[in-house]
Amino acid sequence: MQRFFRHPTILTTITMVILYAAFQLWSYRTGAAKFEPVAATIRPDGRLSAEIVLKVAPERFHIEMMQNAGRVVEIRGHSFYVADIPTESARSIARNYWVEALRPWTPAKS
Amino acid sequence: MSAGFFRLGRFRVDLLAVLPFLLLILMWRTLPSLTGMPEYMFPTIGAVWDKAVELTANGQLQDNILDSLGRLFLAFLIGNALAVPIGIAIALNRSASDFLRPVLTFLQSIAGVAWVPLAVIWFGIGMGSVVFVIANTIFFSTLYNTVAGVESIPKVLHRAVRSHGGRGWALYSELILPGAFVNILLGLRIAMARGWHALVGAEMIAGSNGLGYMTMEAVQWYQSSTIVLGILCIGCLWLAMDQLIFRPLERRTVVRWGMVRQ
Amino acid sequence: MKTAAINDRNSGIASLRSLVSPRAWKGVLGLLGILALWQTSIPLIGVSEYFYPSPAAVARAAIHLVKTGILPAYIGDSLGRYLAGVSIGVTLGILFGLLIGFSAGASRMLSPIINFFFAIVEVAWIPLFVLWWGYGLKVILVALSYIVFFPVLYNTILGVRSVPQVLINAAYSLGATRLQLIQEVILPAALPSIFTGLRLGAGFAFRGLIFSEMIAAKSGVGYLIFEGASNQQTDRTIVGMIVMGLLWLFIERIYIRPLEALTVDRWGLATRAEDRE
Repeated sequence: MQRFFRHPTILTTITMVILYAAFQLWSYRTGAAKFEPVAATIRPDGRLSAEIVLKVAPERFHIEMMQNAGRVVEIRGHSFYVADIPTESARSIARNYWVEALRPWTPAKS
Repeated sequence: MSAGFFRLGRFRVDLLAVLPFLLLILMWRTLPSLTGMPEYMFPTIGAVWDKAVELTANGQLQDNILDSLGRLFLAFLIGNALAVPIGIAIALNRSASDFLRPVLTFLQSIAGVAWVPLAVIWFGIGMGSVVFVIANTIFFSTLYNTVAGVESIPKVLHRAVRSHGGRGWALYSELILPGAFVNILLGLRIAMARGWHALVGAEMIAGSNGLGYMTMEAVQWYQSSTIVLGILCIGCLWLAMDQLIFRPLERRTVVRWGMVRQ
Repeated sequence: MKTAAINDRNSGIASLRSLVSPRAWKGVLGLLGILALWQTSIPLIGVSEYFYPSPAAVARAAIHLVKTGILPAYIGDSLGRYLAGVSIGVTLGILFGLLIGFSAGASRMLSPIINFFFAIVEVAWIPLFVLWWGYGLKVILVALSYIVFFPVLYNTILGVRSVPQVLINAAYSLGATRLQLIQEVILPAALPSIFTGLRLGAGFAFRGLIFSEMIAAKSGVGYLIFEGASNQQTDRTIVGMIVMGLLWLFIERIYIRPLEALTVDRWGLATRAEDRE
């Protein structure tokens, strides 16, 4: 039994699972913290609008992700201004480690 | 069980084996109309035949086939001409082998279509990139098999040849080449198969003509008949190459010399 | 001394020990040498940065790709597709392999048509799939399953066929049902062959993954390689290629090879070259 656990395959897999679990835990904790500021702005229809600030300059990868989440109104600097995001999507965006912060924002009516 | 066979000239045709093909053709005829797939998505057999006739008449089909085959053989030559000597050299020289093993292992794991985008940057779209990618694939495949082949020669034979005073060229002609011949030959077939895969793939992304290009380009024009034609040609060409070139070659050399059980 | 070596081989210690042997250090030296060659050839070749990126540029790009979250996401997507496609292909391959290997009738009927489809290079189907399903997951999964199916199938058939008739007769004479026969005799005996087929299929499928991502996906390592070149960001392309190589070596060394070695060594069904001498 001990030899089973010493096998590189098992060791590696167990290590990866542990690291992944730890990472997910950390993501959920920080994600919840980042979501805090906009939690109050959830509308009755379950959506919210927010300014999503990234730690890095937005790339096609991020733009596409935001577009799938809601309506991207503007991209300025490191920030996305996205409207009508379902709450769960917003929480999941907040969990990404490359997201700096979420700030409340309402799109200007025009 | 000899029931269910009938003779067609030299070939024994198994009625039972024909059944799935008949079923396939039946499905081909009826499924599109049953599932309501639009014409452009699934060509009728007639449409594919018409397209074949059309492309043969204006020479495009032959040109594409010849272009593809030409590239394949060119790359096959280049790749193998480089891989066999280098492979032998690496296998015989212990320290070279130690130095280069990890690098070559790593490069082998990315050999093939992964090089296509880089090749396009270097050689542009077209023949150069495609030949490079195929040669790359064939090189690493043959290299691996050559090294394995040379290394599989039992040490005892090495010592025997040396003790008989064989060195230099005699070492190669009497020991290395015959000993590794089987692996190298089998490796050639594997390399060709991989090269063929790489050819079709590379042409789809970075080609300007050839079977793979023809098949992929037809997607833009919704020419499903061309696509199916291309698929059939690719399959038939490989079958032809395998059955007409490699199998007989193997049978005449390796199997005949009793080195591999058929 | 031989037995000690065999025991060592079966534990993880042997592989760790081999890491610090002088031969391994030579290999590392070789890698570093190539890197050095790469770096120094830059001024010699003297073309623009995107044509021939330097190792430093590639390293920077790799770090940037991690910072922006792109690389981990792409790797995750690729691995997910790979696992799904391989699982489907392996399952179907083993099922059909058992069926065909076991039943002469099924073999007569299905072998030619399977050979026919095998001859058609799987990448050739991709244009048709793209026509039908556009770009996306379905195309990639079907292509991957197709690629893995054939090697697993052939090797399963081989494995099933090579079970000595004596064993089958013995099992029957002991009163085994068909199902028990399959479970207790056929499957274990065919397992080494099946795993060989798995190794082959997994290898082909990995390349197929990268290729189909280049054509039919918007994420993944293959897509990264492709996108980098399209945007003149060749350093990203090379990051993609290196990641591809490392991923494959990881999958092969950690998962596939031990799986194969496990059955062979445990059941002693095949002699390995090192054991003969």
